[in-house]
Parts: sequence; structure tokens; C-alpha cells
Amino acid sequence: MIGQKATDIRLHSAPQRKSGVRRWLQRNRTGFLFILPALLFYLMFFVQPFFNTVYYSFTDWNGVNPTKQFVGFANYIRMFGDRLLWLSLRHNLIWIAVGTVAPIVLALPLALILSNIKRGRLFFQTGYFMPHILSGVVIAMIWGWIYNPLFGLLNYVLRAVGLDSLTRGWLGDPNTALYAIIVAAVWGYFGFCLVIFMAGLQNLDIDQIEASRIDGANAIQRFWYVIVPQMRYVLNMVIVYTLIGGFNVFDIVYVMTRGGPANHTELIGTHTYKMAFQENQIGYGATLAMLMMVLSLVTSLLYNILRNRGDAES
Amino acid sequence: MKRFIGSTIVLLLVLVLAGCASVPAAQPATGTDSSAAADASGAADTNAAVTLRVMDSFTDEAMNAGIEKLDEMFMAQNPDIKIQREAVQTEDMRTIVQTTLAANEAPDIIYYDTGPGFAGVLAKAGLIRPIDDLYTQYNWDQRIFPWTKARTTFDGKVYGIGNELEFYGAYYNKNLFDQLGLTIPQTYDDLLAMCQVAKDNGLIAISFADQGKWPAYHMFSIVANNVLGKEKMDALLFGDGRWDDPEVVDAIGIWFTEMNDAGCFIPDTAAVSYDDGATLFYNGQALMHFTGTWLIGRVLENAQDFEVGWLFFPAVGGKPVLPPAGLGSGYFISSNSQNIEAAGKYLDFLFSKEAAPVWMEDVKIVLPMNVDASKYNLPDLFKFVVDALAQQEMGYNIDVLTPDNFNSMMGDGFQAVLLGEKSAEQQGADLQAAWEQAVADGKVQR
Repeated sequence: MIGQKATDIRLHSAPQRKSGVRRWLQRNRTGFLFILPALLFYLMFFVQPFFNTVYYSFTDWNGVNPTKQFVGFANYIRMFGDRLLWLSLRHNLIWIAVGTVAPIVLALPLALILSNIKRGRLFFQTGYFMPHILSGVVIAMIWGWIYNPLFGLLNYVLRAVGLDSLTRGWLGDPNTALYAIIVAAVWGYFGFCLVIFMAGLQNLDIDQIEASRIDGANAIQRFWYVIVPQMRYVLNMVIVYTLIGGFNVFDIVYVMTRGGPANHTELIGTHTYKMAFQENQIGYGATLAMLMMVLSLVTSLLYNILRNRGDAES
Repeated sequence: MKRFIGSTIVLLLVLVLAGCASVPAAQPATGTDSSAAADASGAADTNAAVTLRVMDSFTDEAMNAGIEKLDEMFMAQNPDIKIQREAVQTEDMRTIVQTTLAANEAPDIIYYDTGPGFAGVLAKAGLIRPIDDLYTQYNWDQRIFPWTKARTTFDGKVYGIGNELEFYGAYYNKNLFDQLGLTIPQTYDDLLAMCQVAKDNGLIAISFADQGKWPAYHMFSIVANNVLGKEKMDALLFGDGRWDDPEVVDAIGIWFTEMNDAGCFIPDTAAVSYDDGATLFYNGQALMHFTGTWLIGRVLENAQDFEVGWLFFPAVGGKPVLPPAGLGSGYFISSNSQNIEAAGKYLDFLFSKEAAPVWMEDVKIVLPMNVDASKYNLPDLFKFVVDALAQQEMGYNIDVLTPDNFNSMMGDGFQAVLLGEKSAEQQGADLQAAWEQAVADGKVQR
């Protein structure tokens, strides 16, 4: 009897669920229609190009030839022997390490200071955020002038303060070129981190901070043990965003040095561009683009896993 | 209400999709309905008006004005043909042309680099059309220098007309030369001695700036032709010469090691852009600016405070001076063009005696054909260039004849030699390896 009853329930529950889904779809039809245009754009300008890139990565297409010869995993295998790719990857890792830490180290304390001032906060906030609205090309041009060995501001200031020995062609010196570009990129990016951190600071639990103050915690302890843990989700967002950006850098480097001098600022992005559009190897360029995507994904996932594990342990 | 919202969204979607859908293969945008119909039927250039779409890279103000003048002259002679011209920056040309050709939206005529790594790639893909028939029809062989035809010939077929005849050497500041008691260097040692004189007087000898990497290609061409001579250059580019040959290594060493070590160049040359290097010359801070004759218009415009002369890189080891010469870009016809006859007429006009004065006086470009410069109103420097092209034996401009992977190795490798990170021997070996790779990939034309 019990079995019979269970069957009856199953027989009745399927149409009920179906009609429930249909009802849900009917109820949200207008909503779906509203998101449809955006979905179509997404399919056309993201999904379709993405699958095209996957397809090209298995061909030896040169960008103009009507035939795209299928080469299997040849492009992926080629990556392992590509000396410039490994060099570029190394530069990307330096970029990610410095380019992730520097804006956070600069922006978080600054956000704390700014959140405590009453007058002129908006002025400073806007001022620091301004570079972020500039495109990478404009930032590259501005800093290109600053670093110019002939008339650049940096060398001029160094000479003016008697530090002539430090003057150099910042973008032409293998020891400084990459870091000089990272400084420019950090200048353009840290204002964004600042604004995000300031927004995060608005949601801090003031009672906890007050309690720690009463318990005798000094400013550094309050910052490290009370504020930073409360800001972890904001920090997480900024770090993931920066990590992804760190693998996809292209414009600022291309405008400032084109990967030079002698490949000392070559990144995966510039190497990909060179292969795809300067050497007419779209197939291999697409493979490098896939690598960039995989690296961004894996790094972000790993970071999130580690962070979640840390959260669980704490 | 729901029905209204639904219909509105559907209508919007239709409009958006219609806007996003690719437009049909390039059809000339004619001024009249009848000509549009004629174009659509493929009988565009019989009697009906034809719009000929041309894409070039003459964006410079003076050059642009000169080309517009040429187009007006042509349209006055051919009222049934309308020129619809689009000028794009040289650096954007490659991407734009490849995209439009691949999308079947290319203009009828494109102005594109002539080398195997540029037009050769388009020809191989069947995106530009052979014009052997037009060469015969308009008898261009009788007018245009035959050697230029080879630069636009791929797999035995002629695909275009190369333009912008140019050669490399140095603009020099005559006033500074006089002040310092310098004369045109006859030997490489003379040139090295001049570097010291310039340094002693707080000047830069040669405003060589290599941030863009490509200026190094040209400097290598300048020295290599003088060191190797015509025969060996022929073997290198079209035979079985080797890039790790000791003479090639010598040529690399002369410019990128010896002259760099002698302080002939701008300090931190790898950090200085080509334009900034040229500005040092315009401002009288540099004695010489080694580059191509394409810059002549800008040099005459900017170097106002002193007289400008021209010199070639001097002889090395008693060998003859062989300045590299070559073509800049050239005119090519898209495979999809329906207006071949009109395109032929247009090209025939551009390379005519009638158009030559405008090219030289306004656009400041030397055509690949015999012209009597004395007849035109040209600055002395420009007359010298035209005469030199007719009288001086010329060598090869390497980078327009070599494949793109080889050019990448030149650009990055020469910077490494300048920085002292790589020897001339190693760079020679790397160039040879890049060449062998290009041969294996079928990118080298023998």
C-alpha cells in the first residue's frame, strides 16, 4: 500500500512541477524579455568570439587566408618551447606580485585616513580616482613623458635635487623598464582600490572597533586585527580583479615600450599581439590568448579556495 | 500592456539585429540610384557612374591635400568615376585592411606595404588581384622602373604598383658642420672621429632613437649594404647567403656595438622614440639624422634655423657606398572589386607624367619612374634625392624583403646588442635561425 501511495505521489508531482516551472516562466516573461537584448549582445560579442578563439587555437590560420588548417594540439605543444612566452610569464608574475600588493598597500591606509577626515574628503577621493578614468593609452603617454630621457620630468627633478647619478632612460634600462611601467599602472589603478575600500569602510562594525580600543588595542592592532578582517570581502574582490588584470595587461606596455628594450617588458599580452598581428600567426596568438584566460581563471580560483579555507579555519 | 511590451521588445530586437548584421560585400556608394543598380549588376564601370573606394595612409596634412588634388584632377578627366577616399594611419592600416578584406568589405584600391610579409600575405590568401593584364593594357612597363615590379610580384604574378621610391642616409646640419670644421665623412673612421668631435662640443652626433625597434632595421640595412656589397646582398636575400656570415656580423657590430660604444648616439637610445630623435635634429642638438628620404617634407618644414644637407653612410674597408633603396607602400586592387576598369584608369593616372609634379611638389614623394626634377619647383634637397635615385647605384632595404618573424628578431635582437646583452655573433646566429624558420614555413621568396 505504501508503495502504491508513493507511485501516486510521483505520478502527480511531475505534472505539478512542470506546471510550476511553466508558471514561473510565465510570471517572469517580461523580465526575461528585458534581459534578452543584453543576452544576445553577450552571445554575439563574448561567447561567439570566445568559441572562435578556441577554434583558431587549433589551426594555423594567418589571419587572411580563407582556409584554416586544423593542426590539433600543435600550437599548445609549441608553447612549451617558446622561450619568449616563459620570459613573458615571468614578467607577468612580477607584475601581479607588485601590481597587486602596491595599490592595496597604498590605498587601504589612505582610505582609512580619508574616511576620518570631514572636510575635503570628496575632493581627495575624486582627485585620487581621476587617473582611473583615463584609458591605459593616456596613462602610458603621460608617464612616457615623465620618464623621457631627453625632457622627462623625473630626470629633471632628480637633477634639480642633485641626484644626477640616478637619472637614466627609465624605459630603456633593462633593470628599471618593467618596474617603471608598473608604477604608471599602479598610479592609474590605486584610485579605484581607494574608492572601493572607502565604500567598504562605511560598513565596518564601529562597536567592534570601539571595543578593541577600550581593550587597549593600539592603532596598528586595531587596523590589523579588527579592520582588515572585516574588510576581507572587499579585499578579496580587489585582489581577484587585480589578479585577472595582471595576466591581461597589454595597452600600457605596448604604448610605452612595445615589450622592449630587448623583451625586458614583454608580457603574455604583448607577446600574443606580436604573434597574432605582427607575425600573422593568428592560430598561435589564439592559443596564447587561451593560456591567458586559463591562467586568470586558475589563479582566481586558487585564491578563492585558499581564502575560503582560511575563513573556515578561522 | 504585456502584449505592448512584448511587441516593443521584439521590434527593438529586430532593429538591433538589423544594425549588427554584416552589411553586404562592399558596393560602391554611388550618388545616383541608377549607378547603384549598375554596380549591383556587376557592370559598374561601363557607362554608368562608378564610385571607386580607395584606402591610403596619406594622413599628413600636406600629403592629404596633395592626394585630394590628384583625385580632383582625375575626376575632372573622368566625370563618370567618383573617388571615395579614406586615409588611415599607417600603423592601423594592416589591421584595417586585413579585417575589411576578410569581411568582403574592402575598398577597391588599397595602399599597402609591398614586402612579402605584407602584400605577399594578402596575395597568397587571394585577397588582392593580379594586375598583369593592366600592366600590359596601360604599358606600365615602359613607364615604371622594372625593378620595382619585382617587389610586388608574388609567385610569378604582379599584384600592384610600388610607390614612394626612397633610400636611406643622413640629413645633416650644414651650419653645425661649418662651425665645427667638419666635412662629409668619406670613410667609416672619419665618421667615428666626428662622433668624438660632436661629444666634445656637447652635441649628439647621430640622433638614432630605437624605442620603436624598426629604426634599427634601417640602420642595419645602411651598414650591411656597404659592408657586403651588392652581390653578397643578393645572395643573402635571394640565394643561399647566411646571416651568420662574418661580414653580416661585422655590419651588426659596426652600428650596434662600435658606434654605440663610441658614443655616436643619443644616450639611452632604446628609450627614445623616433620622433623625439628627429626633434633633436630639428632643434640643432644633433649633427646628423640617419633615416629615409620619406622624411624630407617634415625635415624641410621643421629644420628652419639651419641649412640641411644629405650624406650617405661612408665606405667601409674601401668598398663602394651602396645606400639601401626600396619602395614604401604600393597600390593594390582588392580581389572583390567590381570596378577593375576604373581602378586601372586611376592607377594609370597616378603614375603619369601629369600627376608627377603633384606627387613631388605637394606630396613630397618620388615616383618609381623617370622624371626630370629640374622642371619642377622643388627644394634643392628634394632635387638631390630625385637625381641620386637616377644616378647612384642602390642596395636593398632589408626589412621590406624579409619575413615578419625575421623582422621581429631584428627589432628585439638589435636592442639587445645595443644594451650589451647580446654579441653581434649571437645576433647573426639568431637572424639565421629566424631565416631558416621562415624558409621552413614557406615565407621566403627565392
